[in-house]
Amino acid sequence: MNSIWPLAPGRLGGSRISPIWLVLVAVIVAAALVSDRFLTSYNIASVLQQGVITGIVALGMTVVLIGGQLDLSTGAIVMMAAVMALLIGPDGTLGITLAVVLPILAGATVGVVNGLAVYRAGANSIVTTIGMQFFLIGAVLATVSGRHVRATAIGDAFTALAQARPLGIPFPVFIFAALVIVLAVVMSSTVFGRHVYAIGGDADASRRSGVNVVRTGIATFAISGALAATSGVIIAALVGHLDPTGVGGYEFPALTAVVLGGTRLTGGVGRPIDTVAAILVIAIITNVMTILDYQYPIQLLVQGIVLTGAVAYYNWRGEA
Amino acid sequence: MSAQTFVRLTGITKNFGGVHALKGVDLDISASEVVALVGHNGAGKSVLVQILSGVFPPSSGEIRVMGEPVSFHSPNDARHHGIETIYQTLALADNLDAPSNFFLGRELRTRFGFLDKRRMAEAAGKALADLNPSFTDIERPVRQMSGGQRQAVAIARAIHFDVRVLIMDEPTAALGPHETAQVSTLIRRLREQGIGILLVSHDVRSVIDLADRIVVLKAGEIVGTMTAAETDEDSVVDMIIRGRRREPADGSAP
Ligand SMILES: Nc1ncnc2c1ncn2[C@@H]1O[C@H](COP(=O)(O)OP(=O)(O)OP(=O)(O)O)[C@@H](O)[C@H]1O
Ligand SMILES: [Mg+2]
Repeated sequence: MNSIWPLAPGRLGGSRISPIWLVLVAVIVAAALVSDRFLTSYNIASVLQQGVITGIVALGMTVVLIGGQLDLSTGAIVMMAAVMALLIGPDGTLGITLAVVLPILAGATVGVVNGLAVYRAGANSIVTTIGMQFFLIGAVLATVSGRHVRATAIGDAFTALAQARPLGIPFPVFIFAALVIVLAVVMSSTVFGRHVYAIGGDADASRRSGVNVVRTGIATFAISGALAATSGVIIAALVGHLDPTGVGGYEFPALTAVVLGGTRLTGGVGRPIDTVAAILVIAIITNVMTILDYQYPIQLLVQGIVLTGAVAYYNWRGEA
Repeated sequence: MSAQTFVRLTGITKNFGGVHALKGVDLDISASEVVALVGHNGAGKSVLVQILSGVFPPSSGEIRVMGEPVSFHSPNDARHHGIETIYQTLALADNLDAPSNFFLGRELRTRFGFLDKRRMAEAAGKALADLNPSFTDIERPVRQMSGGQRQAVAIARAIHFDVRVLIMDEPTAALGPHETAQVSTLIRRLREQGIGILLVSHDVRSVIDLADRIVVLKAGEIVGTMTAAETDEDSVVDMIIRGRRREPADGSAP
C-alpha cells in the first residue's frame, strides 16, 4: 500500500510513519501560536523534563504491551524506587551507586514476579499488576510509617542526575534519549525484540514455532519494572525528599502515551519511538494548559479524552 | 521392513483432567513413507500430532527417534530431531511478515548478534518461490495474505530445515482444489526424497491415493491399520465410523 496518509499505526518492520508524528507537528505549531511563552528555551526544557519521567515509564509499558500484556504496577514501582533511593542515602560514591542500582534491580525483580504470574501461571496481567501496585504501595507506606521521606545526606553527583543541564538540556533527557535508542534497536533488530512482537501477535503459534514465550514475556515485565524504577530514581534526585503518597499515578499518563503512539492494546504492533512522539504531544498539551492557567481537573479531563479518543480512532482505522 | 524407522511411538496415552484423549497408541513412521492418520472429529489426531511435535508431553508411553528414546520439552526439541510440523491452525504469528514467520524461533543473526533481516528475507523468498512462483510481496503481515499463501508459509518453513519426519495436520482443509493438488504433488516429492510423512486428513479419497499406510484412530485408540494399495474408500470410511472392518456379508455400502 502506498497511501500518502500513512495511517497504519506502527507497522512492524515497515517504514511507514505513524500518524502520531503529524499530530506532534500540529501540536507544536498550535502551541507556539497560542502562547508566545511556549517556545522559550526555559519552557521547552521544562516540557522535556516533565515528559521524560512519564516517558521512561511509558517505554517499558510499550514493550510489555507489544508482548500483549498491560503493566499497571509501574506507578507504584516509581514510588518504591524513589523512596528506596532516598532511604539508602545517596551520598558518596558507594551510596550513590547503591541508590541508583538497588532501586532499579528492585524494579526489575518486581517485573520478574509480575512476569512469572502472567506468563508462567497464566494470570491476567491487569489484575496481577494492579494487585502488585496495592502490595507495593502498602509495603512502602508501612516501611516509612506514612511519613515524609528525607535522605540523611544527598551528594551533589546524585542531584546532578536530575538537575545537571549540559548544553542547557536537563540531564534526564539524555538518559531518556539513550534508553529510546537502545530500546528501538532491541525491538526492531534483535531476536528478543522479534519474539516480543511474535508473542504479542499469537503466543500459542510462537510457542509452537519454538519461541520461549515464558522467558521472553518475563523479560518484558523486567524491562518495564527497571525503567519505572529509573524514573523513580530520577524523581528522587530531582526533589531530594518526598511525600510517598504524593508520588504515583504515573501508570495512566504513561499508558495514554503508549496507546496514543499506536501500540495495539491486544499486542503485536507498536514502536517505542512512536511512544516518544505521544509523550511529547501529551507533555506539550499539558504544558500549554498550565501556561493558559487551566487547572489540574481540566488537564485530567483532556487526558481522558485523548486516551479514549486514541483507542476509538485506532479501532476505527482497523489494523494494517 | 527394509526402510529405516525414523520414529516409533509405543503405548502413548494422554489425559486432560478426566478426558482420555489417547489410550495407548503405537505408531511407526519410516523413511519414504506416507502414513495417513484418519478418524472422527475428536478422535485424538491433533493430540497425537502435538505430542510428536513437542507441544506437550504424553501422560505415558515412549517416543523413539532413530531407535533412541527421547523426551521433548518443547517444539524446538522435536525440531532438533528433524520432526517438523504443519499445524491444523498453521501456527503463524499474524502480525509478522512471511520471513519473520519462516524463521520464527530460529532466526538468523549477523556477526554482531542482530537479526539478519536481509538474509532471512532472501532465504524465505527463495523457499516460497520454489513452492509457488507467483508468491511475491512476502514482506507484509501474513494476516493480509490468502489462505493458500499462509499455508505456503507454514509448509515452506517446515521443509526448509533438515526434516526427517514431516507432520501435516489437515494440510488442505482451507485450500481450493488447485492448491490441494499442489500439496499432493509436494507430498509425493518429499516422499521420494526419503522423508517420512504423517498426514492427518478427513479426505479419505485423496488419502488412499497418497498414503502407503492408513491408520484409523477412534476415541483415542488405533482400531485398524490398512495398506492403502489394498483397501478402498468404503472400507476406510467403515473403519472410521464403526471401528472395525466391514463384514463381507454386509453387502454394498449405503
Ligand atoms: N489442550 C487440550 N485440553 C483438554 N482437552 C483437549 C485438549 N486438546 C484436545 N483435547 C480433547 O482431546 C480429544 C481429541 O482432540 P483432537 O483435537 O486430537 O481431535 P482430532 O482428532 O484432531 O479432531 P479434528 O478432526 O476435529 O481435528 C477431544 O476430546 C478434545 O476435546
Ligand atoms: Mg485435529
